[in-house]
Amino acid sequence: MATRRKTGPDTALARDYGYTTVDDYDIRTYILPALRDPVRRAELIAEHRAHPRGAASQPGSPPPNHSPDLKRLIDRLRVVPQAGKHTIVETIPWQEYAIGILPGRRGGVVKITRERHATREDAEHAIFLHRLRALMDRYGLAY
Amino acid sequence: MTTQQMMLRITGYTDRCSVRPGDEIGFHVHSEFEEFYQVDIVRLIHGDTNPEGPGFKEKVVRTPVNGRYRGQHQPVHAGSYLMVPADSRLDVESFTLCAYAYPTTPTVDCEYVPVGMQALLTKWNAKTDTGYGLFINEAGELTLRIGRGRRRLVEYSTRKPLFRKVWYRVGASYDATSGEVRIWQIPHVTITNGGHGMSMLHPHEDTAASVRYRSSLGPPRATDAPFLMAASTLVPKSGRSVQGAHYAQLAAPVELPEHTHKYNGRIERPRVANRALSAAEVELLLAASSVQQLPGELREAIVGAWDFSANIAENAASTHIVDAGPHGLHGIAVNMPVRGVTGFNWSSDYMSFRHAPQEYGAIHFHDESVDDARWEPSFRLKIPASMKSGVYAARLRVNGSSDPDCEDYIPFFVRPPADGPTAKIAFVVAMHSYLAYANDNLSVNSVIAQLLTGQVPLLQPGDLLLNKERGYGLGTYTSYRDGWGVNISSRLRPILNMRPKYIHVLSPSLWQFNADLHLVDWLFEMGYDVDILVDEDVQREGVALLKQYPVVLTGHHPEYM
Repeated sequence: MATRRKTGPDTALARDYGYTTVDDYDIRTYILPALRDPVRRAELIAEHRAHPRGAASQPGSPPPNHSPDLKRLIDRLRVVPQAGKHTIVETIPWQEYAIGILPGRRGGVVKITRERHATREDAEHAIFLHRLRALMDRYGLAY
Repeated sequence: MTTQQMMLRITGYTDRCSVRPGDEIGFHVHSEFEEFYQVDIVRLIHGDTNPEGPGFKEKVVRTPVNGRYRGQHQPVHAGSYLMVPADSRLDVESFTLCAYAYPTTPTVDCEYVPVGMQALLTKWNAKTDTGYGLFINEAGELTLRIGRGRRRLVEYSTRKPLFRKVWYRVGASYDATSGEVRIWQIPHVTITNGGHGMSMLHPHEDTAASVRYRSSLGPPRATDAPFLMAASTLVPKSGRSVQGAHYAQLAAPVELPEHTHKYNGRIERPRVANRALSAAEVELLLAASSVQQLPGELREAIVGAWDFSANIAENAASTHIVDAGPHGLHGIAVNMPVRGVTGFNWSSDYMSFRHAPQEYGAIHFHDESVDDARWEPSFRLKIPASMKSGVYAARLRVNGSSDPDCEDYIPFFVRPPADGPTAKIAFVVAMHSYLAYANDNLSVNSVIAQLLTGQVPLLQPGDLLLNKERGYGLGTYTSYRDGWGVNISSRLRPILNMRPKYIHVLSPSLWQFNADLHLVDWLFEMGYDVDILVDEDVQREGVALLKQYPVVLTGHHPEYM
């Protein structure tokens, strides 16, 4: 017997209009100003490069937390759908890390790309740059 | 489908976690590609491979089981269901099937992946298309199948979708004399039974249906498939059986089928009758909480009338499913479906199934549940008298290779001999916490994992196998694909985040078992004698076990001790 697929009406609710509009407003208001300024952008990238996953406190100095601008940027970059999201795959423990792509569904295949890095920090930073580039492309900013 | 690269190709579990010298422990091993593997029993000292620390430490122990074995591919038959062993009284010609049902993935799961055909009440062999069964089809419509084998089957649906999280009265009947088929799904929404949202968004007519058909195929052919609820039969006899432990009610082993068409959602008051009942009779049958309340002529038509509330006040984890009908066709719960959950008639006056079992008469089924992998045993080790109390593992290496995708460790814990402590210090292993955090799927299935942990998760070969196997039953920090939290966690299946060398998503490096090996290493290097106990031992034997020691240590996160 043939089965019928029900397709929903094309509504603002179905398109998640509320979320996407607020998200767009937040990016334009709180994130893009720092990215539009090449000097500030280079500083944020350098800051991430120094401590991609944060770092332990050292005696006599304050904890090396990320700056508020970098925190906001990283948090937004991590809010992407699970399907196609970057991940790190340990290919040789403590020696080689591959960039992987999540399937976004249970039981699906995690794609392991040819991109390899020597440390987990390098891989973390590379993913940060991939996501940053994608965000800037979306808003027509030259990287 | 593309094969997953870098995935762990061997794994396993033990039949018990804590043993004494003289005890036997069984190992159950799965080999993804049926390759030969080398077994070595090792004592684990330090599990952290980080080159900035002391590094991985293990000592090979010579035992009779060390050696080379042929790998066996052993799948897990996940998914909870109820089974009533095959009985000729269930091979009906005319029939009525009815129940209350509350589907939680009528078409797609929480990741919008189509779930496919799901079975509610079936005596159906899916390989031969024989028998009968009430299903939910790919479009989310209630469907009746009648099959006579050799692909001769008919299928009738309500042609309207069932909605997620709405209680329905569902059923179908077939009259072998007239060939008339009836199938119906009627929303049963009260102010407290949970389906309010959908009922407000959609008019009743969008989902209510009662449809008649005429079939010329003839009655269903008898099948040796058991009667299943929340699944149908792929293979009537899987070679795996249940008895003892949480199946203590079974006097003899009962062989399980291999099941398919696994259902996510709740079922309550399932009934089978051996004739096509009228609509009024079905109403009576479903409304009555007890078969004894029904008139004689209706009672005589009943083949099975299972009462899920009958024995939950004493033990809601019971695997015994009471048939209150005239034939006592009692069922068995497999893979621990969730009992004592709110039913179609939940009034909100009670918060516990112990106080009002009659309002908690539903069972929630999930297609990913696992109570026991039920793999064939691969080898058994008798713990030698000379084996010091400690943390041990069977190290498995495919063709002897130590590559990360070829190597797994199955940990176990050796206690001191029964005649008393061998040290002043006892270290109590937090097995219950390892179980609570077992096989989480945060790295691949949680959209907030990267925000939660402040980093991109690292996937190791074991994580990739877990992803493929949908978590081997998952753990209590995860959710089933219908969005409900996982409420059981078993050690009778591989727990791949309870391994040396494992890096956990929740911490920058280690967590639970592998983090506890830091303490084991420190005690070892400092020269302290330590007796290893497991919290399961303390649970079983009480505080007297600990009173033998001046010093008792716990590990880094003994949250459920």
